[in-house]
Amino acid sequence: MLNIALPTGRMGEKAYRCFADIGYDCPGMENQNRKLVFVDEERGLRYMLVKPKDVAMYVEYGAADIGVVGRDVIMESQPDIYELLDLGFGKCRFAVAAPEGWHDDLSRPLRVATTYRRVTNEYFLSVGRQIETIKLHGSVELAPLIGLSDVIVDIVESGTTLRENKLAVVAEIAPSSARLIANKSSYQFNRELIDKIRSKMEAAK
Amino acid sequence: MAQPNMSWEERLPMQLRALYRSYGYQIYKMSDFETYDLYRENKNFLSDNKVLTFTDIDGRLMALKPDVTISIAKDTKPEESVRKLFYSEHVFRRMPGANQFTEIKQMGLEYIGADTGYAEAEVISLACQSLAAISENYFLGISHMGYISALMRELKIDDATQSTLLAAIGRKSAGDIAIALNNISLSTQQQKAIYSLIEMPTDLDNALAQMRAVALNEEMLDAVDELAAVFNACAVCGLMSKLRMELSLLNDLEYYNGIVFQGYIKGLPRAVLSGGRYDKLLQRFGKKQPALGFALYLNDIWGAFIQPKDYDVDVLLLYADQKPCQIATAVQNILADGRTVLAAKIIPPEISAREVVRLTDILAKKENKQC
Repeated sequence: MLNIALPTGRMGEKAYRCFADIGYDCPGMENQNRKLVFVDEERGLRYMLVKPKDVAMYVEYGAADIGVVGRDVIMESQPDIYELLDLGFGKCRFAVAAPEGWHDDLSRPLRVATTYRRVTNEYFLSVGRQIETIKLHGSVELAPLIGLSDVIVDIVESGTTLRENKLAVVAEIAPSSARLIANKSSYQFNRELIDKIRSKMEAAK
Repeated sequence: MAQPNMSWEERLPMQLRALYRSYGYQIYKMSDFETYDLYRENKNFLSDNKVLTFTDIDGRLMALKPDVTISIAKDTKPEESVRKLFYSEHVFRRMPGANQFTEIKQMGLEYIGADTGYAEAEVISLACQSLAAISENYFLGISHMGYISALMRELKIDDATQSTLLAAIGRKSAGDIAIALNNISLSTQQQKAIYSLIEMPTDLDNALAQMRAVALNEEMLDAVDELAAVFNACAVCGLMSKLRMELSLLNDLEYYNGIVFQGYIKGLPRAVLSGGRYDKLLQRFGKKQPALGFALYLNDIWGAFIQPKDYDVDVLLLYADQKPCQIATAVQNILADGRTVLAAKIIPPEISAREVVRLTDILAKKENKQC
């Protein structure tokens, strides 16, 4: 039985299409319901739908053998896994955004609101800027508007949300896209199957 | 020696000890404490730099040992040419993702003065036999830090780029390797050598052929020759199907310089065995001996293999006001049948027994009321 963890939401739907397109479809997956586990006994597949940020955990701890997750999640949680293929969709980037016309005051630490604490700290350490990190769980765009922070670090797709909140990208940190990941131990024991899935997906890209 | 009533987790360490002794390894016992400075100076050798510390009566900052190998390297005398040791110790570490320290049962062996060639085959064979004692369904992934560091030197990249690149190789991420090397101009040969690290054929001969084909210098070729010789010796032990080249497997270049390896067992998410050649650790202590070794993380194994028991004991013997000698006779009789027995006056909570026997019933049946 090969266990596959997919994120809920749009990336998960696209990820499932990738599997379905190369012949690993699973009955029931396309129905809109609240089920979280889908099993195809015959072909030995079990899909599970989990929160995007949890996919890497499921794979690292071996509850899933493989999974699909954004590089942004991998950069933030740094799981001990293999990252076998860039699937090319779910493209976005980590960026620093600030209110339009913002100017950095280097005489004091920069206040940064983000849900991605590790990525933020590593980036500002690499550019040598002292910061104060404000960890939020969502709607980070609000923080600079009401003076909670000077700037934000977030993932940016089209930039619409930023524009609507009168924010603009002031620095790019890293690009992200969906990745096929595998548990390091499971990969050794299911190498033939996982390699086959990877090469089929690569060819279908 | 092993008893039939012993559980698997009690038997395995005895089995491993017997295995290591059969190859002439001697047991190494160490204190639970070392000075904190020992770990501060060698923090990169540890997988996590958090150490459990306390202040000794004389004011020195001490640590509960997070590792055994560092102590063995420190205690090795410069004149000792060969020393084969194994250990079974508790180490204190923070588990990944956890916010507290855990006591971890670790067994391992160290071969001080280990030459290249046979010594490596012997340690790899012992690593395989240790894994086989747990499950026949295992693989040992093998890499060579000499090969990797010789490759890194060819690229002439700065330390920060190198650590980003190594992390990407460790994840087998072709995408992140490309990002790490974004602003660096490399020859086609160099690129090929880097990307081949994450795409190793499963067959050992093919893997070595690929490593030879992309090698950029003599040092990389030497590493391939060394591996080929070791694999030939491992073939004698019938281990070829259990070994895999896995060059994405990276140990710290500051300490490890030759063959390194990790053992995986089917059903367990993380490597349970990890080791390799760490000549550079001994050099940090001013010692010239080469050294090889591995450690086995027993905590990770228990959870996955211990079958939940149906019963804690075979017989729960309930006695009342009988004479102690009558109770003792009944206990001896049950043990003589090869069953386990818990004798008590009242039923202990949270104990499940296959069978509850009242001493009054036994005595009534046998009518042997005298002792």
